[in-house]
Amino acid sequence: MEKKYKDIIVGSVLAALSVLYLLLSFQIKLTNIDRVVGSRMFPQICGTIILLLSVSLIVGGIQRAKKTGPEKAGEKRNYTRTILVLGSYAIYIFLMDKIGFTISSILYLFSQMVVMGKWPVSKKSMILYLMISVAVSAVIYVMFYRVFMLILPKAGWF
Amino acid sequence: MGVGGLSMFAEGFSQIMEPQIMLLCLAGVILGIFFGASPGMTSSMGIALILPVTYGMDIIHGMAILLGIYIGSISGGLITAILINIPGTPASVATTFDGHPMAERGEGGRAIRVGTLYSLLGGLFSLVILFAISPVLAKWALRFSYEEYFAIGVLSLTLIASLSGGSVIKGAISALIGILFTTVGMAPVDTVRRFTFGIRDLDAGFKLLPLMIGVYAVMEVIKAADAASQEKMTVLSYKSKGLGVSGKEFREQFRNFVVSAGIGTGIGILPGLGAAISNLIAYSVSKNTSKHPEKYGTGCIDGLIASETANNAVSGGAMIPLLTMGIPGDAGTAMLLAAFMLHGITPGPLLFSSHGQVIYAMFAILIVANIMMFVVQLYGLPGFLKLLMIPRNILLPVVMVLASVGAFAMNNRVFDVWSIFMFALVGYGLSKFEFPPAPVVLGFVLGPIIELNFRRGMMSSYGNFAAFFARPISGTVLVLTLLILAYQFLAGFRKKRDAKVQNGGNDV
Repeated sequence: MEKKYKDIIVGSVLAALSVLYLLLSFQIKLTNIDRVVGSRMFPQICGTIILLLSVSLIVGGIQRAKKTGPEKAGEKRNYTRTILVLGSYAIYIFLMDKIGFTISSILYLFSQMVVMGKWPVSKKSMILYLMISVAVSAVIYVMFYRVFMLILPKAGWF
Repeated sequence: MGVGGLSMFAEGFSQIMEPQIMLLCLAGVILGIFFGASPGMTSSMGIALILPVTYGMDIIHGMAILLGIYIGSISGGLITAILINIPGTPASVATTFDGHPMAERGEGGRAIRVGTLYSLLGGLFSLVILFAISPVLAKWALRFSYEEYFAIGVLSLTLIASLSGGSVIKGAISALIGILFTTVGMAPVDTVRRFTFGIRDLDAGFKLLPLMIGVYAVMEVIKAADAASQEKMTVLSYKSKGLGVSGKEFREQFRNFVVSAGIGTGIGILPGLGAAISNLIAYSVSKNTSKHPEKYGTGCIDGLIASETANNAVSGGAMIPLLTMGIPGDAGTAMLLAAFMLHGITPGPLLFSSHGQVIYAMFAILIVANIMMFVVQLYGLPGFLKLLMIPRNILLPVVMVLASVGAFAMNNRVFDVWSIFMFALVGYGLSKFEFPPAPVVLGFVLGPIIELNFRRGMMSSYGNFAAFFARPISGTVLVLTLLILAYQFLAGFRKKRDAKVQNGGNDV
């Protein structure tokens, strides 16, 4: 994405979202408890301000884009790791609900250490990551479940 | 303070003189210094991570560990700032300016000692102000009505949006996005469901903890993963003895100390600014008023003292609006506010009369935590440096697991963990387009305060908004807010015009 269009793009997205938000706000029920303001007004005020600010972001962006000449394409960024980080977290949350906290945490910790570490991963670090993953999950389980008496996500297993 | 003040402290200390509380406070300080020293982890994240551990404790035990983290983390940043030239938290950015050159000269140990000593002194200075002002302010704030809370909320938000760095428009949008998230769930006053789309889990709305973790912690993980080539950090030597300053130097630096501590405490009191800005402002004030400004940046202790005094002085200042009005001064105190709420206590002027003993205990904990921070940081330094060498690809996933456990355990539902994920996506998107994250968090905290008091105020004046200007305090605060907005608008306009004139309308 070219840098000079950044504000125009984000301004348009925000403007569209705030319009959607404002439209949805008309679904909010009005009651007799509070006839003066009601539950609609505050979201509508905030939504309107965001809409106005987004528009000014777009206008400012257009002015700037006009002034600056064509830009060299920025350096290509690799989003593989970012996607892997977010993806594995989503899978972790999903699994937490299905197979319980302990096993899903071991899987998540291990995969995350690999994703964030140096590539390619050596056999030695693989073993280290695995050991840490198991140990950390076990310690958290014992500490939180047994010592601090918190409930952890679980499914039949642990 | 007089006799009342003394009995206040006697009562506070008598409540916390218990081995368990002391141990919790010590643990908090150690964790805090570690969080503060670890680049990318801040006090608010540390508090968010440890908060679940306190669910089962009473408020004083919980506060012992949380306040320990709060105090420890602001100071801990100096370790990495001085010895590695990476500020551990944004609060210690200015510490790198003179602290690291000192370390390069082989005076790393002295820099750490001076920084830690002035962290303690700055912290204690701000506590004195806290103890002196907050009971008076609380009494005064008892008279505050909806109008005043609305006005202070709006002023806070304006300050946060305009001073968070970068574009004012983007800061304002960030704050408003934070507010929009608070409009999901049951509305105040009439408990109408808003934006829940029939999803039961949304009825209770979003919680601060997942928002904080999503916007900050997940972002750090992504950033660390992006910087795949993990650069090796080199630690400079740090051997030293004594306090680092002689009696003569102490006297020479006294004015610098008082000014910096005053700046830090003042910035702490103002909502939304916090330690991240205080150290830079104190540093530049110290430099501009110094007799030898040319020495700044080459490793002179003046700059180091200004930065470390000011950032720790924020801690006591930021507690003032939190305790007296329930309005947090920065992201760290926002997390403390969440902790209070979890323990069923609502900070505000009534807290001083209804839960006086909790306040006094907190004051005592703050003093103890500052002293512990000093001792632990000086004598535990080699240990912290070892901990800092834990590779980030091992540390950060563990942080994520802890954060997820904390979010889950709050209400025992996976929904809150999913909301971390959602906020992470929002936070990532915002950071890609250079929106500051802090206003989102504070907008989220202040949104309900502003809305609730707006509605109540409007109801009591039968829909006449002018009533908000009719009361002296709320009127003054609102006019001040309008002036700030007008100034921001004009400043932006002038900048544009000047740029046009200078560049002949070519490049801005």
